[in-house]
Amino acid sequence: MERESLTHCLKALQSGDMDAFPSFFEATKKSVFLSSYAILGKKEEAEDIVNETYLKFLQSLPTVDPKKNVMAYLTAISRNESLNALAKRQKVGELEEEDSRLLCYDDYLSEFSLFDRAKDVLPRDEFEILLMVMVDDLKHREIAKILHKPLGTVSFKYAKAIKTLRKELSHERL
Amino acid sequence: MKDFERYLKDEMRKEASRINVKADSGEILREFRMKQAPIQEEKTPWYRRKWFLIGAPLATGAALAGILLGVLIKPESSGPSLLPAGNALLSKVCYELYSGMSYFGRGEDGTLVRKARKQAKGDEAPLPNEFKEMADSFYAYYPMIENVEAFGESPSFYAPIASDDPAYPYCLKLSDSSLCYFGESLLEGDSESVSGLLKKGKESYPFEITTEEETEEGETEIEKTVKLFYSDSDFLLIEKEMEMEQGETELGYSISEIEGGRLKNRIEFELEGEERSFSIELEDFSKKEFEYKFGKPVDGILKMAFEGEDGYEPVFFSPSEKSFTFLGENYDPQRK
Repeated sequence: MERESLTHCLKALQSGDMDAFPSFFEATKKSVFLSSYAILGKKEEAEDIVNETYLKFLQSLPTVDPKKNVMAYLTAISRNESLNALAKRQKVGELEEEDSRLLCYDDYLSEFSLFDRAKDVLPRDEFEILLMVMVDDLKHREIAKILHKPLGTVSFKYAKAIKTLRKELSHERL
Repeated sequence: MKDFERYLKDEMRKEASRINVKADSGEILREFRMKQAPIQEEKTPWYRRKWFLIGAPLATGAALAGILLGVLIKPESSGPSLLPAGNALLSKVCYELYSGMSYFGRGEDGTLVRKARKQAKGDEAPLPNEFKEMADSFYAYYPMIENVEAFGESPSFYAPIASDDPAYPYCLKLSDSSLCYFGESLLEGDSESVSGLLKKGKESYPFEITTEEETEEGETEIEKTVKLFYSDSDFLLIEKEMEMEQGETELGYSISEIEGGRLKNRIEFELEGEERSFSIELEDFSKKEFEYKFGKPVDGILKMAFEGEDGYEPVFFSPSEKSFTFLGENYDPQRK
């Protein structure tokens, strides 16, 4: 669903029309799932986070700004919930957000070769940024706000991820 | 969009469309509605509620203790953080402001300008040969070059402290005598222009930071400009440009001193792939322009190409010992 359509759904939800929710949900759930999966690495946990994300989203409906990108808002909620879940799992007080390959991804996405390759070769933060650009269609500035990183860092890490993947996949492409 | 990025985007979206996420919108809505339902509870008079019976005396005691402690103990300075811990962007800006002032002689270490003034007055022996002049300037600026290149990757240099200026809610301490105040965080909000104040001792220098970003398919350009004002017509201009395309990065960085609307001194640094070039131009007392090209140290030695009259010549620099070798001759700026 295009950004304008999502904004239209958001406004309908904010005006109390909950019939707009199913189509909004179907259009956005995979992106929300992937952003959580990028952090947690576990399918079922990521699906739990999807439920939590939308609950929090619905509870905060009156405060969501329709002028801003609602996908960025959903991704931010999903990310925060996932990081909290990860902290509980790892039983650490403060998250090391730059931990690269410490996550043990389950085999859920093994049939999806490109995601699989990307998560194997990229540090977690680069994988997250890549997903946000490629799947969620977020701008670098929006990603910088979600991740609390400088704009230049996001752009730099995205460029690095592209370079790494291009090198990794260059001998396989047609 | 460049071919590879287009391919990546198409393939990832195809794969994303095939993912089966086990979550149901109907269940989410039901749970949401359940949480929205008001909970009926027996209303207890406020004076009989537990929180009042126990909490009120505690709250009063705590308030009194706070007042007493506030009078007796100076609270530890900590201000709102401009950015999460470990983020280097603002620290880099402050570093550039501070370093720019220092290197161009208005601060504590006017290295090259102070030396040039001494020479003009005849307080020092005439400058040695051109290689040694280049070595002196490279040695003076190398720490800045090293830090500039680590864009966004290095840890924060400075810590946020409580601001004592109501016009600027954020403050970073640069040194015992220098504080940097900001009107807003560079990260939050959509503002592309941030104003601030650099206080050095008793003097204050207002500054402005503007950021422009342009992203086209596969390419990102970011331009950041900092102007630090000494007066209405005198200012330090710091410009940083980054271009990223297909994983390759080009970084251009310059500090210029503008006086009376005229360019006085300028240093410029460029990074393209693995090649770095650095040039300085001093128009104040002596017009010198040096340009170097260099990569990264190999086995602890940095090999540079120094542009002399007859083209580029090799110079070897040891970052650990801060010494140079040129045409078999060793030179250590620290032993001058």
